[in-house]
Amino acid sequence: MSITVRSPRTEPAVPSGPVPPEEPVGPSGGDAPMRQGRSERRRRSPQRRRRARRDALLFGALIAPNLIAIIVFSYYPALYNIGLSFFDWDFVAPSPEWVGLANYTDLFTDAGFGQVIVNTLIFTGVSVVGSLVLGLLLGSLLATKVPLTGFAQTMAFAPHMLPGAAVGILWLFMFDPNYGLSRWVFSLFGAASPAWTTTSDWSLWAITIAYTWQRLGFVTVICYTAILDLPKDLYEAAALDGAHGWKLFRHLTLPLLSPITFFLSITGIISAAQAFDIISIMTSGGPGVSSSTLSWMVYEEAFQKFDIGTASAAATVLLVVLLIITYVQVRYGDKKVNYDS
Amino acid sequence: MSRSPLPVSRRNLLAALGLGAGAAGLAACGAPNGSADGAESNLREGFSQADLTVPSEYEGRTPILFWAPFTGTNFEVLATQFAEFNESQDEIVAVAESVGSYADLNQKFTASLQARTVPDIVCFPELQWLQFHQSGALAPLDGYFDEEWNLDVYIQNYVAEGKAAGETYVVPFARSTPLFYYNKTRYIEAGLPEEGPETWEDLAAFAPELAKIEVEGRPLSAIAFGPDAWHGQADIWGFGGANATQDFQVTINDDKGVEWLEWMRKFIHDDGYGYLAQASGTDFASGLAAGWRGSTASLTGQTAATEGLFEIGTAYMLSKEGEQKQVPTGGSGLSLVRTDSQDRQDACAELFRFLAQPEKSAAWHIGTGYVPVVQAAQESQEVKDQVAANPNYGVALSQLENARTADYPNWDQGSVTEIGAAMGQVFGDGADPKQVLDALAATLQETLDDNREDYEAVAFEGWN
Repeated sequence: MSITVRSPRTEPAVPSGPVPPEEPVGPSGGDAPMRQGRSERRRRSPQRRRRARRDALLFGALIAPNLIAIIVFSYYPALYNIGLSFFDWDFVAPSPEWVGLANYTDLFTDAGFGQVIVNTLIFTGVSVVGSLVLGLLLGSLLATKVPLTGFAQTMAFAPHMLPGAAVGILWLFMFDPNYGLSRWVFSLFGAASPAWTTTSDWSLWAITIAYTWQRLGFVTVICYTAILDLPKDLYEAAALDGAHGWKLFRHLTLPLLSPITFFLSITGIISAAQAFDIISIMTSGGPGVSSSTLSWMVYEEAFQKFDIGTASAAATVLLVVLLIITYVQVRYGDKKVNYDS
Repeated sequence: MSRSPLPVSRRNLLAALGLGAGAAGLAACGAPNGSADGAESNLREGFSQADLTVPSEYEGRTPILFWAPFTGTNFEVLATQFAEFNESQDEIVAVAESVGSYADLNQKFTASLQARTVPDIVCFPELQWLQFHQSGALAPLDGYFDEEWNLDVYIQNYVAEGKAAGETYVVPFARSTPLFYYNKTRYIEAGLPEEGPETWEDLAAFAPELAKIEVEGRPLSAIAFGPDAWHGQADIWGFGGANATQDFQVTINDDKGVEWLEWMRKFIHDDGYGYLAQASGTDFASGLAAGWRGSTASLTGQTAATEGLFEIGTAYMLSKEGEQKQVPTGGSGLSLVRTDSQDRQDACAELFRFLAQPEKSAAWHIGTGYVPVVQAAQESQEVKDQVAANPNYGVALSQLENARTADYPNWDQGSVTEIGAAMGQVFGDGADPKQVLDALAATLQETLDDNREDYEAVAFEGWN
């Protein structure tokens, strides 16, 4: 005798159409489930087997375009890149030369590479945290229905719509110590503008500020939309308990927004670590390597120095670093996220 | 059309007879790795022509495609010359597509080689074409030379740079030298010589006078620097040093090299008379700096950009007092890409022949500022008239007497990037020149050692 278990939540009140065969579940222990499973498969009608095959084919056909695209455009290049990192090649020589781990050894013994890693961490950390903090504040401000909210929204989102190259050129003008906005601002205090993009002291900060500004619009709009979606009753209850202003934001808004901030921090880190256009336009990684990040270094090694092996090794390091950071975020950050809202 | 010069046919014949490596050498296929893929002629199986759009009026002709590293005015002049070529005969249509800069061309052509879908003609700067030659991507041109069109028609400063192992892979086209540009109007205003500075000491003497002029509330800078290795080559020669010897020893960090960068560091950071600009040409054209170093190829564009604002003066690249003035040759020449079509290659040679006519070379020079690479063009009435109307063109021409091939490190694009980065550290940060150059020298030496075998195989003829 077989025992059937049926979920009361999925059982239709009035069955319509043919009733599907009931799933047999054996008593616990022994190999009864396996035997029963086999007997069930034996009992499957040809019609059901055809339908299962058809479903499998349909499933395959539906996911194939995306799966092929992911394999061709993501996994294959990544694996190919890892492979190239063990060769010395200039992209045009007839055959790459196997050098084993030499590219990695060179990379990690190069004094400049340490600076590039530090630059990447600073650029990524400051721009992600900066855009998140400012975006939350601006999003909250917009959600309080300030005058001209629509206009303010558009203005806040506009930087995200601009191409990185345009943002780079815009900030180059603003940072120009000869005629830029920076010069005017510093002159108000009787000081000369720093040479933002041509000195090592400032170049990394110049690209970090420009990139943070560009990302700020996206973060602001996401936060603003998420805040509007928060449950009002919780705020009313908290207000009845005497919570206002900062307390509401700190103890209610921030925890409720944690899924959004978690998402923004992961995508922000990945995006910032791969930022390229602003760096290319504003500093080209210089002076020296003062504003060079891993993504810029990959480009410079590959397409300016034609050292494909080193570029691939650096790209592999970037991939590994991003995988580790994302894993740590998902593994530990996920526990802090409140999905109940 | 279908010009099929005898030597090419003979080459193919000899190759077909299987005369082996000796015959291949005779047949002018002796590039270091030129036959790495087994090809023994100008042809390369499996390398087809990249897509191009042929104007409807030229349909049916043999189409050839030039990926041109020119933009703006220079590309317009090129397009005019291509249109004239297409009108001049009825079997070929030459199409020029602007790909941006030399760096853009480098990337795009590299990708096209991977894809085996290539243009018919490319145009790489100075000796950076060697990496493509070494991979067997370019075809020798000697088989097309005859009484009318051969290397003798060109200015000889630029000929050797197109040869490897005794064969010609590049013919001069858009060649140039770096030039010192100054704001003549400001010089006159400051009571300085109209002919500009001759030496770095002159510039140091002029700088305080120029600084008395206020621009946008700030003292006028004597020069806006760019971290360009090409300029750096002229600089270090002008201080009596060199980037490397012909025996493959890097010397950029010798005393002369350190003296060069220390002079620059002091001029910029101690004296405050110059600065590292984001775009030195733009700063000069907008009047923020009274001088900059640019290519002769910028002459037409800069003259147009500053018309009505101020008068441009040009001078030879500066040297230290008592040292010999020398400038590296620059710009690019025309190369034939090895593809799967003999007809198209023959058609390309026809185009090269057309562009080497004195009147075409003169028109290219006048329209862009690039040097008139054809000797007869320098003597043409058009060029003489141009020099009379604008003496800056005459300075660019006469500076050719100081032009020579850059040292080995400048043959490699990676090393060029490294030198520029080192200059940027000193110009921008005021970093210690000795430390910067010592670190740079180690990197350059490593690269030079790697490239030595390939460079020796080139058997370069242009050192003397």
